[in-house]
Amino acid sequence: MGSRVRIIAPPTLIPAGVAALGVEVFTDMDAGLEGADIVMMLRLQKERMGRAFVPSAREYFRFYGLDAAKLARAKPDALVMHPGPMNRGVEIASAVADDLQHSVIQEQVEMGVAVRMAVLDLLTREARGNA
Amino acid sequence: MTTLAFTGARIVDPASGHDGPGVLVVRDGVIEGIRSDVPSGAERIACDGAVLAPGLVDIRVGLREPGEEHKESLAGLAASAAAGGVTTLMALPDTDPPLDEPALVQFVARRAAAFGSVTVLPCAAATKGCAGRELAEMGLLKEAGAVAFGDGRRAIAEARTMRLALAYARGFGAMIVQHPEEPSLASGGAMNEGELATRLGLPGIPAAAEALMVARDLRLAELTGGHIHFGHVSTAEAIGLIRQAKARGVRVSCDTAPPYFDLNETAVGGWRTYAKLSPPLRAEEDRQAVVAALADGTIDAIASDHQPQDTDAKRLPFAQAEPGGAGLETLLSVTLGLVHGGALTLPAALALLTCRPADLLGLPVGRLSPGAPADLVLFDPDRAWQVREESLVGARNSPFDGRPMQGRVLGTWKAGVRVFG
Repeated sequence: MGSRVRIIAPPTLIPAGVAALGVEVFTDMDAGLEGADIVMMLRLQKERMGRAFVPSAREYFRFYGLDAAKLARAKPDALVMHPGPMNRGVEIASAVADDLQHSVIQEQVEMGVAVRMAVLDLLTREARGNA
Repeated sequence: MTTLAFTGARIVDPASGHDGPGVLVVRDGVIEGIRSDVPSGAERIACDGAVLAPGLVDIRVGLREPGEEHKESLAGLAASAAAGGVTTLMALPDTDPPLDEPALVQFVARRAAAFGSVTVLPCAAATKGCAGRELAEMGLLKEAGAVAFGDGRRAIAEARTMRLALAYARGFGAMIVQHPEEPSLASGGAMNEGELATRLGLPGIPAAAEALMVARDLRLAELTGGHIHFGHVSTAEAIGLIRQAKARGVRVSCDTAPPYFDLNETAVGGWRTYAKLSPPLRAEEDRQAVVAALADGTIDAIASDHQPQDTDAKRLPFAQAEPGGAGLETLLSVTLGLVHGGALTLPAALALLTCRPADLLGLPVGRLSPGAPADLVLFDPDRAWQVREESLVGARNSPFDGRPMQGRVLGTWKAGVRVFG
């Protein structure tokens, strides 16, 4: 859709070959956020990770958690997104998550329900015989 | 303001290629430059034809504080380093408790700094507790002062853990330091496997234990793009693998220690536990391969692999004695043996002890450039002496005990302050 997409993560969480899908890969969050319009955080899915790909939540927050200092690297009017549920203090600081100047997380979560309903409707229309 | 002028020395600075006479001028602990005259008001230090070089950078030193201070305290380590001409060292994390917490990394560096003779840069734990299972907090440890990561004398045994460690460390621009020995093959072994071990009735550790781990880790370095560093390489086979990997661009470096180019397995004859090391002293062909790899650049650094033990740990039947040898005070003298024997030039030998290990860690030390701290060693490359354990300043368990040496440290300066000699 014409966007430039960057992913930022420790090397242990970056999928193999992901750069071939057309994204730019960063392991340094400050560098990756430089000049960004939209910052989309993802939840650290501890329950699926088995033996940890990252050493601890405090280290993850220090280097990959979105706080005001890191967000300052993005554009001044950057939007902050997160599909929820959030691990506050792990991948995102509450001060950023609740900052209405930047955060559209509440709207994103709310619209997420409508978007999922629409996608399911489109995908199943034919099978339901009312295309 | 104090100004020192080192006069009458042969000044050797491998980083810049300078090798010749001159006056080294130091102002307020910082190198000002190499000149031909003595600035007015400078305090003269007459070097009488000895060699003046950058203080040594030793990237593999075992710590016994915290936890085993009876073997060597940080104060003892600092004195030992000064006597050996070592002004910067990388300390291994397998203390008790291990250096897997940022506060412990800071503790070691700060406490060592208080003695003033040597900069101690911790290699922090790559895994929690050096247990080889979960990654340690490398980012926070690096912010606390760690310069590399590894599990000390323990090999990172599991391939998956090594893969994660190499990948994760890459994100912080740090290398993983491996003790290259497959533990399940080395377990229970006391010396190099072979005819001599059979004659002495001792359980052996095959050279393949090193080659297997090196081959695996080279493959994992390729997979992850991480930087693998092998400590104390000791076998011809492992060196061959590293040489090939370097040629095809793998991010790999390695060091060796003086026992592996100066001694071979015959040193344990008579069940001398001071010659029980980890990895064990190898066959003569292996020793020759180490010398060749130092000469052709395959090995990046000579490190002491200083591993203090007390008499209670060494005065035991060979198989039960602890491995490890004291190495700081003999590091330079044994290395000079390579120069006297014609294997290396003096600048090439000193490069392996100064700028090359410093470059591996990205440190601005190990060179006599203007503006660098005046960390210096002055030595007589020819003076004869004999290693006697009772005359060593620090830990006494030297595998070179009794050996005649040619070349001795005369003085050591840390940031312009004389700390030895």
